[in-house]
Amino acid sequence: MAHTPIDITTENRSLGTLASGWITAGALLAVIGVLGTLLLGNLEGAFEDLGPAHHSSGTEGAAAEGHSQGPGGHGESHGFISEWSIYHPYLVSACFFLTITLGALFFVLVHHITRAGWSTALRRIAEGISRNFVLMLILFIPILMPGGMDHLYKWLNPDPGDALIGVKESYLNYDWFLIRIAAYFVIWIGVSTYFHRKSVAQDSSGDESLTVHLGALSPVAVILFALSITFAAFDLLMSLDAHWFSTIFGVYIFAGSVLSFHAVLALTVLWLQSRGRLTRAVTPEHLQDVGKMMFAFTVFWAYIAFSQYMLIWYANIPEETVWYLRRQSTWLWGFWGWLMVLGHFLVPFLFLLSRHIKRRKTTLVVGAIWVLAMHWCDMYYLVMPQINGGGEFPFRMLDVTILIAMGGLYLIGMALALRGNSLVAEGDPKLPESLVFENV
Amino acid sequence: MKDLKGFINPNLTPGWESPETLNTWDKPGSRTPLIGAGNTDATVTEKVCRVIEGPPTIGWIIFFLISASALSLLGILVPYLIFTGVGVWGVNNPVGWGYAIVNFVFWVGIGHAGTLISAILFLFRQKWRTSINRAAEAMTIFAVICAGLFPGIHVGRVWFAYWMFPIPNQMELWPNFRSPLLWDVFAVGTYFTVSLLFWYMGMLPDLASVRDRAKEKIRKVAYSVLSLGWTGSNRQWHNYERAYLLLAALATPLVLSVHSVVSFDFAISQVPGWHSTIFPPYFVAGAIFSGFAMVMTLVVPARHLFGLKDVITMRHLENMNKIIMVTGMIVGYAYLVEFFIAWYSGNEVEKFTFLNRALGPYAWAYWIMVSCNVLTPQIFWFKKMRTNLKVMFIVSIFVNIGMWFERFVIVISSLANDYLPSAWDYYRPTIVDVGILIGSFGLFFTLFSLFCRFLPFVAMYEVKGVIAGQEHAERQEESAGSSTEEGASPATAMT
Repeated sequence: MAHTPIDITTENRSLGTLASGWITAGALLAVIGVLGTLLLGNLEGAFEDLGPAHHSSGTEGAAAEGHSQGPGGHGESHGFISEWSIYHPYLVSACFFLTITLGALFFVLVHHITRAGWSTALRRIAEGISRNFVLMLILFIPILMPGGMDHLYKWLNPDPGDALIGVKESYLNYDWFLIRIAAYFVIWIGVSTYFHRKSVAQDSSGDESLTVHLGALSPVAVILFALSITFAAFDLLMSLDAHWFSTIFGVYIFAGSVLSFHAVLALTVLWLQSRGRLTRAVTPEHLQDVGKMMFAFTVFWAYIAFSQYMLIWYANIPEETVWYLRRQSTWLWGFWGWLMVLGHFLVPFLFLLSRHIKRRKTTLVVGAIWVLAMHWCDMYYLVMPQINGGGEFPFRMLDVTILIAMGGLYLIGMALALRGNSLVAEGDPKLPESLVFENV
Repeated sequence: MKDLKGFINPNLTPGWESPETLNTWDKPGSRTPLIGAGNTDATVTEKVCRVIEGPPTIGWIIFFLISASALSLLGILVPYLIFTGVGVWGVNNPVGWGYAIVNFVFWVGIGHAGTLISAILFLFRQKWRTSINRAAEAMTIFAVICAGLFPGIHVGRVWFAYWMFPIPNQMELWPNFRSPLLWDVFAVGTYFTVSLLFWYMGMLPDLASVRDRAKEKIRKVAYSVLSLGWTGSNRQWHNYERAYLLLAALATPLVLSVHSVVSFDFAISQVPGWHSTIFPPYFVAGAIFSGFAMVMTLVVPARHLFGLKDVITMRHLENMNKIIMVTGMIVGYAYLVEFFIAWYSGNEVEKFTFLNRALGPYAWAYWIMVSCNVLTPQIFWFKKMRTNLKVMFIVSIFVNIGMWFERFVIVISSLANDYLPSAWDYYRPTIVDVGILIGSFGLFFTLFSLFCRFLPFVAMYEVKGVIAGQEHAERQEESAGSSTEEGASPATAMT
């Protein structure tokens, strides 16, 4: 039956010297990323045109899109920007890390709501990662500046006579957009900070009433979370094409968030273990459960993605199909779509099916890295295909350098959030249950 | 087994807890026993088997007679419909789908709780499912039977209903594989088959218990046949548990797929108010919502009538109320997002459809739906309400009403006021429509009362596994002072 509970006080459970290691590595990555971005960006001419975007550029995209019908019969006007700018790869990477952070917040909240026992040994790491919302806010500032917005969102300066954008002007306008984004970050930063602080406070006090308190608070927090992630998805990603809409879009982003976070969680824990932290507190049982969640959300993501595609494909209404047409009318984006089907769903589905793969470190690492890579591809798929009407592959080295730079900063953020406190929620009364937990 | 009070931190409870609600509290870090103290393997068997071994109670006979009378309505009206034609219904020119489709979707939805409880909650290691899964699965099967009735009688010429199946024939006549109505045949058919197998397989050890207790000859033979020669040997248990896990994993996607396919019936079309990409997960959440409400409607009186209050405890009921609350809010989320996107899309017809739902001729139905589905469950924010039997029973009825009206709103309002105002009409059900709806409830409750009478209402062997786990945890706590691991395999409970 259950193995003997370990004495948590004998466990190496602080980030300790590893924190400076993470910060150094993160800083190094950030510097490499920023330098690479500057250098390559200059070579590629990415910084040449950071002023107001050319608003005539939409028609080039329209031409490249060929005979495909204009959305909603509104003639030449388009709801998207088709000219590449450095803000596009920037948005891809920012959304990649934002969704991971959202997944971390959901993990914390849902395990409080359900009074989950098994996950207590892992919760502190999720709490730490969820503190990165502050970093995410800073990273989003360039996008939210008028210059950045102008290069990303056509609705900021729509084509004259674009009636479709006209009707939603009361929602899609700069001021109201900024207020909404601010509100989302207030919710995210507030909730994640509160849950992390209270959990840390419990480390020393062991106060049981904190568990009850957070449990009672978490349902309200989840409601705020659900509304904020949905409308953030609409605002940041769906409105990239201001003509297009899909009611499931928020759920789609949610599915990817939770999936990618579990991959990050697995990688973080295994990295900590390889450096001698949490070697006994986190067992293969926990890893298997994290793997199960990755598996479950791989399937859930596929279910949501399929639902969206199938319904739009079947009903075949031009105002909706434009979004997928753009992703299917060139071989490259067609290939990318199949990458989503096979790489984002089928491969991890088959790979993560086996119990042994989820319990073995090397295989779990492979699975988690794969899932993360696919999540990045997913974000790319949401942002990029409207560039040049899908005719030209927008990949540049900047996609990678910006990702590296943000990844470095993200690692620093994680180190800052996790250092100084125990890596385990050691005052949580549910911890003993988690330490002896076994998959039956 | 020690007193429940030992599991509670008196500083963290409000002080109004009654003996009945005591096991809904946990001292953080410990798990309060699910099953009432004083229950052993023997008492569980006794309590559950007593229901089906004694003579029927007066209450049961009255309930059965009322249900059977309602069922007879079906026996009269369905032949009348078949001999006369679907004109006896209230369907009219724009509204070609009336009560029949509303009832079909309603009953399929009800049928979702069972497999969710037995498969998904099993995979999530939720031990509390063990006291309610048998009844919920039975309910699922009966609900799917009720659902299956409606497409069958809706085809008009019922004698050609077998054309729904792709049977090779010399006319080279095939159903339209591109139609989600045909996918329904497969989805619901698969769901029914797997649910039935899952339910029956899960019952084998308990049927054997009933067989072993049987005194009369006929009873013994009947339950011997039903229990398929179960002996409870170690080897049988080993295979059984492997099979149960695999069936649970296979049944899990079915919980999602059936109502997703049902939602496709609407969402693949171009009808405003039907074509929305959120429909599949939204329908699934609604189905679980209504299914749990129906379980609640059935279980609250049943545990009282059958004396199972300390087997199906307040903890079980509270957990179900929480699920009702969560799924109710997911449904509310979908209403909100649909409404928002209807406006955001800039599509005039879409916008009109949603405003028309809230303010048009069917506004009364829309607001019944919203208040029952979104507002009523909010009362469960208060623990005192979540653990109040009268409140939860009333809420469950409201949710059932609300979910029926949800389907009514979706089906009727979108069809009645479509693109051409000159083609609009107001849908009015006829007495036959209402009679068949009541009749389907009769069918459902008749089958359910028969189930209560002849089959074990609670999965005895699984509850025994939970009791064994509780005792195991207590022993560990006594020896180690910290461990709270819950649950052991049913095998250790039986052998």
